[in-house]
Amino acid sequence: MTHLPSLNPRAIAQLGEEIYKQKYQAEYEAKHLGKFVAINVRSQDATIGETPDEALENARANDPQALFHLIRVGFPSAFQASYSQDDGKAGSDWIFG
Amino acid sequence: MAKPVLTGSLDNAGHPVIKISVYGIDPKFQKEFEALVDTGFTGFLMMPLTESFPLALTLYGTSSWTLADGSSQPKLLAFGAVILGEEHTHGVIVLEPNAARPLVGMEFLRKTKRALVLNKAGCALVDEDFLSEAVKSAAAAVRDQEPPASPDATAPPAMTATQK
Repeated sequence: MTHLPSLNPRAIAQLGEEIYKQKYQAEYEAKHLGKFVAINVRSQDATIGETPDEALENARANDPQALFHLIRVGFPSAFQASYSQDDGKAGSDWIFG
Repeated sequence: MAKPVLTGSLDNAGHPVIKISVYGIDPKFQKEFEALVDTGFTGFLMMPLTESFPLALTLYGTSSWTLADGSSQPKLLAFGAVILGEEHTHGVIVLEPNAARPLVGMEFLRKTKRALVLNKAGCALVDEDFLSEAVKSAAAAVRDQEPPASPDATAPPAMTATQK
């Protein structure tokens, strides 16, 4: 079980990325390229789905109280956007809980 | 039955925009927005973070998105629903702290089974099956208007005695 120091989105995302790289990346990139993975940042469990909804809903069914970091296997990010409406730094200081 | 054509418009910058309503755990929290249709966004819906609080979205965690310049940014993720016309479609929502307005992407078009049709006067979201049938009908109408091919033009030339 991982201790969460805060609910800062940047910290959660970083933790999710670290868990994925250490435990799942090598295997999943060989077997599940293009699929979505929800990393439970508390238990370090991973749930795979064909879509973001499938991965997150199945992960949440197993642990409704957890927070998840969503990754697309083999891609730099789960989502791509053509442009941003912010300066790239906004949101890093949003802390919940 | 869902309306086959939902009309949108173009904003001052010429981007296609449509009217949607968004809510989280209960439709009673719904609010109407004018959302930009961005085919460069692979997700379902991006919502300005401050606009999302009254909608009672369910917080799921985080993700990241990559911009056209290759940079990545962490984002909060939530779950909620979009009402388009009279149809309710649920999906994963990216929360953006500094956005001015919502943005719907390719996953939204896939889930709602709509095609984006654009011209200089405006835009529309058209039901995919309806559009497919319309294209087939138009192609058939064009074929029917074409003059029949001349038999002389397509038939091989008759062999003459000298060629035998």
